[in-house]
Amino acid sequence: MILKYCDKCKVSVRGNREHCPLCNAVLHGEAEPSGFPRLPNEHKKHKLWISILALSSVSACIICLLLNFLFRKHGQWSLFVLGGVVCMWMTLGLALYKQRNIPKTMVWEVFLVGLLSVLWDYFTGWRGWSINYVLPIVSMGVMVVLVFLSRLFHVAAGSLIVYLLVDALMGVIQLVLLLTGCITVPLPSLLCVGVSTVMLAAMLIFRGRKVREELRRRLHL
Amino acid sequence: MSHSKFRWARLDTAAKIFPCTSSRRDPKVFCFVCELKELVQPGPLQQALEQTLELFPGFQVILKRGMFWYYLEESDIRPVARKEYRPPCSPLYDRDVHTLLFEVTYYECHVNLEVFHAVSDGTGAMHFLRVLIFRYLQIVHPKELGGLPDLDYDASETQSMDDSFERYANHQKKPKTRHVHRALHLHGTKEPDGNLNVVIGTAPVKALLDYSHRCKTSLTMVLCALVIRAIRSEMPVRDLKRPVVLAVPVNLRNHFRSASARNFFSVMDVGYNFSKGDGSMQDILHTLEQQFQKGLSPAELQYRVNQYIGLIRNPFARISPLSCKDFAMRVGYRSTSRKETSAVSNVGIIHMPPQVAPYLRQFAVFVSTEKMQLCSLTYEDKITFSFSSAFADTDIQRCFFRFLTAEGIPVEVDTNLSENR
Repeated sequence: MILKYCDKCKVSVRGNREHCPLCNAVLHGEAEPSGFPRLPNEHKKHKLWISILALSSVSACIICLLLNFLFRKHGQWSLFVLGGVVCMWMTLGLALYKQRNIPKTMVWEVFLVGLLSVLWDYFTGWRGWSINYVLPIVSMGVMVVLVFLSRLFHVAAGSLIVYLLVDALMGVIQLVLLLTGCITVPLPSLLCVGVSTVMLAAMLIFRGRKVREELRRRLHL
Repeated sequence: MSHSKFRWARLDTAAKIFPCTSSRRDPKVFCFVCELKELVQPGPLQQALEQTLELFPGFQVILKRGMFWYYLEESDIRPVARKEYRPPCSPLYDRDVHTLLFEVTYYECHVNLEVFHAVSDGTGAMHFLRVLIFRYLQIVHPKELGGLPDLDYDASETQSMDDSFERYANHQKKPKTRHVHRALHLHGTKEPDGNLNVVIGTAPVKALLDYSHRCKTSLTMVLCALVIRAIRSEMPVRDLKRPVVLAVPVNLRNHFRSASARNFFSVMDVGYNFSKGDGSMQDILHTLEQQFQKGLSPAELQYRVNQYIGLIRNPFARISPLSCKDFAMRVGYRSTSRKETSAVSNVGIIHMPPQVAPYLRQFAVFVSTEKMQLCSLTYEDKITFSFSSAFADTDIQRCFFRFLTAEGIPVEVDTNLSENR
């Protein structure tokens, strides 16, 4: 059997093809199977709903800016819309970027949401709602969800320990804020600190060896 | 839970660069292909894979991020030998999802072993593939091959998690730094979706050896010279003053005694400047010979071993968080990469017991790259040249293979390029 042959390059070519892969000249001879499978051309599909959401948020921003320009006497309210849209896309973008690991995403979101809410609170005349309510409730909520849903998401024990420890950092921040008197409504923060401490204690009591081993690995120099 | 032993390992010195520089275009994955003369059966392949993995604990790992360093952790994820389902050298390491860092796939007569470079280098992976294929053939042909003694590997060779860089590093001063100019860069349209364009050429190794003997030099140098000439033929005139620089991996196991199954290699740069020489084969080979001799001298090799160690032992580098290190290493990697045009890697000869030869057709190896790279591998009487390239065109490959066929060396070409481009 004579393989497909290119007269220009003087090479035999495998695979059922008409043209030389090197010089595109016409091949002649019999085909021998190629070692490479024909894979479906998988272009990364852009999800339609993301595009729709993106277009609607862009148009909402533009409409608001235009309206605000028309009716200027009510102040610069369109900036709120812009800020809201930007914050929404930051949180959504993070979730989409890390979507393959939901527990990890949740921990990241705690910090992002915390930061964004503090910024909002600061720029809208500090009323303290971000540190009084948002921070403790979000970090506590994620901690509880992590513990109860770790089975569902098949989180490895080592990773769960790290996620909980990182989330418990929020509890530490709350404690500092409490002690320095920044927090005016102490109940949610106290709850958060309490839950974090109990969680840490539970981890140390039930999984003490594992926690130590995981920390040794994660913190090796 | 089988995680009772808490076994883990630091990344070896050379592997530290791979996790942070791995990208979709160049995921730092290399692929060994073994072509059998019969169709691959999934069941026995899976069985062989499980048997092989017991001998290579270094492959049963996941890569995790610590606060300061990456590390490998033993995992109980079970690898599955599955039908080839994605383009060659697709990413194996994902920051967010812990998966094994190697993959065994098959397609018709081919068995592919894809490995993330942080786990092992070509030598380690080649051992793995040898054992895998040997075990597979033993399972499929128990009558003919059942009685064969096991392969000639040294148990420590497969199990050693030793970082040989640490072992051989000393405080020898580094030689005065060479001033390297910016090398020639290949340009062209890239393959869509970060896919790799692979062209594998097979030729009788005897013809190649005869040719290199005629040139009075080694096979690796002939390959380098041919690639340099092939690049020259596609070079725009305005770039002639830029040197063509090839990165040539050096297997340090040949120079330092090491039984590590992990990374123990280094890269030396050899080059040729067409504005300074006449561009003839003799002149290129002459230049390369000098550079190889210098690059493979004991002092130079020792310097290569020491190269990274200093950085890694630096106390400030050690206590900086991983994301800072990642950033710094990416910057360093990019600046090194700018000094190289392409790479040529002659992996050498793969030895299999003579009894299994009737079942095997050929072996090949290629590696993911952002540029273009040639890897060659010899088995029995066949040598395979695998060009992996991020570019869509195959001009350099064409020149290379036409040089060979012009010398009367028969070449058989196979590629993953689809025809309707």
